[in-house]
Amino acid sequence: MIVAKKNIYPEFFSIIFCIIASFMTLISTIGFDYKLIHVFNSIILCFFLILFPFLTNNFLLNKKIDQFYTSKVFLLFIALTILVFLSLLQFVSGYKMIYCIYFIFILLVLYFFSILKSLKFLSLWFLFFAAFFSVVAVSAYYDNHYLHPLIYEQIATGSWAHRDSVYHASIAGMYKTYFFGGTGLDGFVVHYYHKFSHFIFGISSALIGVNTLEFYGLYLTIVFLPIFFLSLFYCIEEVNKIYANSLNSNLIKFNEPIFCLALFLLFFYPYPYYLFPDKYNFLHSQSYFLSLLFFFIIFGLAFNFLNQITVRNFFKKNDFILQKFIFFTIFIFLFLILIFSKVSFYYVINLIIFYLFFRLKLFKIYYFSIVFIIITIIDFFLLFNWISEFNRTIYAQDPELISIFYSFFKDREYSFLNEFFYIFASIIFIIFRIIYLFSHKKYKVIASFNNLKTLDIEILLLLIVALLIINQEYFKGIQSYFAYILILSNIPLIKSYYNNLS
Amino acid sequence: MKNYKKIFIIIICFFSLVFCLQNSTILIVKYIVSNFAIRDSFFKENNIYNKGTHEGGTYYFAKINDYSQKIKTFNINYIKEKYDIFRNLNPHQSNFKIEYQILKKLENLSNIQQNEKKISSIYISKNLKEYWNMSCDNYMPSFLVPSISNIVMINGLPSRNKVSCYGHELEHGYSDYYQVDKKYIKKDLTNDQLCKIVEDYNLSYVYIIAKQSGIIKDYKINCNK
Repeated sequence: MIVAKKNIYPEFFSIIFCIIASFMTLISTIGFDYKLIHVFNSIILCFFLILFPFLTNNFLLNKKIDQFYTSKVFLLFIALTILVFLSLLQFVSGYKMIYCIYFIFILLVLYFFSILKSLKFLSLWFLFFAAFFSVVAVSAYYDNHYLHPLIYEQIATGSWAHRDSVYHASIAGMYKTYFFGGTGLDGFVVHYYHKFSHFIFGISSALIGVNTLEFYGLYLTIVFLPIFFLSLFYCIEEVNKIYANSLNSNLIKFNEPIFCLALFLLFFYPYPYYLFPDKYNFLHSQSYFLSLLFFFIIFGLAFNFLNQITVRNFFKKNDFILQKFIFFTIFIFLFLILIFSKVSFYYVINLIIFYLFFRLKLFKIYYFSIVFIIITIIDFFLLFNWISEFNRTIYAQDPELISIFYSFFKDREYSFLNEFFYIFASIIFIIFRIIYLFSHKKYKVIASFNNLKTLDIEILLLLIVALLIINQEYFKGIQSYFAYILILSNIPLIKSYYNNLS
Repeated sequence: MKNYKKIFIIIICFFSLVFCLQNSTILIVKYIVSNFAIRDSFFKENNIYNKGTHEGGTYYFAKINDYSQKIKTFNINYIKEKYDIFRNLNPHQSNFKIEYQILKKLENLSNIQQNEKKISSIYISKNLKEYWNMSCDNYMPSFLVPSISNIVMINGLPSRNKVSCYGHELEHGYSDYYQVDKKYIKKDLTNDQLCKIVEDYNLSYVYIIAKQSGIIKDYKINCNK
């Protein structure tokens, strides 16, 4: 179970990302009045989020504690929770809580140096890859010109200063100062919207000591972009363990050239970028970006739990009652976070949960049944009290939910080519898995369906069909990231398959 | 036969990598030239039709294309020449000095103590045309106060009669205000009127930003006194 515990490549990648993003911000703002201390605070905050999961995991494993709550993906969630907690404390007390982050950071660095000898050292080429990837990812964040590190100058000169950017920063700003969910244009009027990302970015900006517009324009790339990829790596690590166990393949190595190549190709497209309608949306929309970050965490956590079941027979032991309770509580909490970050996840995550519940016959296990009932109640409550009201006022006609379900019958917004590129990654993965399954001489389709060996293909097919009928961009793109996780976590298998070709 | 499969995979990977590197290069170049374009915009004519998105962004994208061309043709001298000009750029002495001054004032207000900020609000005088004309998108400038200062605005809705280069006048939360009968008020509010409004919200201070004798001024009124 304890595998690759000294593997520091995901953290190393994120640290390089953070440093590169800081350099890019500093260089971009040369000649204008932007404070160095804010960049410094952002770096410390990011380093805390990167180092806390890894070092705490290392510390607990050394103490022979290995449970789901010692997994790095769970500890990343804890690090984000600490960030929220300290920000709220700052809101209530008025004291600058960034000093607490400084203090924890110093402790983490001291511990880091104490275990330095046990860490694998890193190849120079991986450093260059991480640096180049970071430059491209940060550039992609600004690609639609809605935001820029020179945010004040962009607005003052009217250089494509977009309403969207200041609108999102306004909602975040109202959370930051008043803990209120509105835009603050004329007093306190509530605005129905998926505002969890605004809440997180608002309170994070308070911790760094900048206003929310500056945070969106400059510091979000330093603090949260590296964490986005860190959560992806942790998720891949957990998914890969399942494949490694069930298919006897190797564990993933993040520094392998083939992994880096696949990561690069998937996120920056192996075809002319204008063909993909979702181009860099995961970076352009901050709410989409944060919900994907939590999507990776919730999946990582679920797969970690699956590992616990297969290795420890978790559900048959009574001494895990408290753990089960904690896990399911956190799962439901993350489920809510995901939906409040981006409403499109309501549809996607429920589809996956409902399918798995019946396909895996989880109703036979009473824990899962209870969780399923709770989720169904939450779904109905959200549907009638939040989603049905969501954006009603924007269109001043039907609520958005109804318009989404009618969208299939209306004019299609996407061409056949667009639709193809939305499902491109899913198709690649499905083809690979089918080739892989048929490469076994004794392969039988029905048997592998019954043995759940085609579960990944089934979910992807379900998403392809379910999202094909939806006409909204933030729904359709999610399947790509799900496919990315599956492709990247199967890299050892892909590699061994390729090697066996000769 | 198996080797052919390998060669086929290598060829696919090669072309994929070429496209990916091309996409990456475009992104990096766009990032660099957008910086030049913003700095260059300080030298353009300051009028509302030249600022913001859509038609207002024409100059900006013309500059983006211009600089991209120069980079494509390796016209280093041109880039160096521009860099020397931008090095001495002072936004406070540019065509956009008032806009810049307003934004910096809002930034300063974002730095006030949280305890005071929680009970504060901001009012922008209607005579401050540079604020309300910051973008050809009529519905954009209102968001500048809450997004930069992170302080709630009083009477910050824009006029609905003004021409805008970007529609969607009910989106971005505007219809929430119209549904509770909030309206654009053309005339500047008096201190008493402002205090009456903020008291309803349990706030104590109003920061007023206005133009007096051609100079941008901000002052605070304490509604508790």
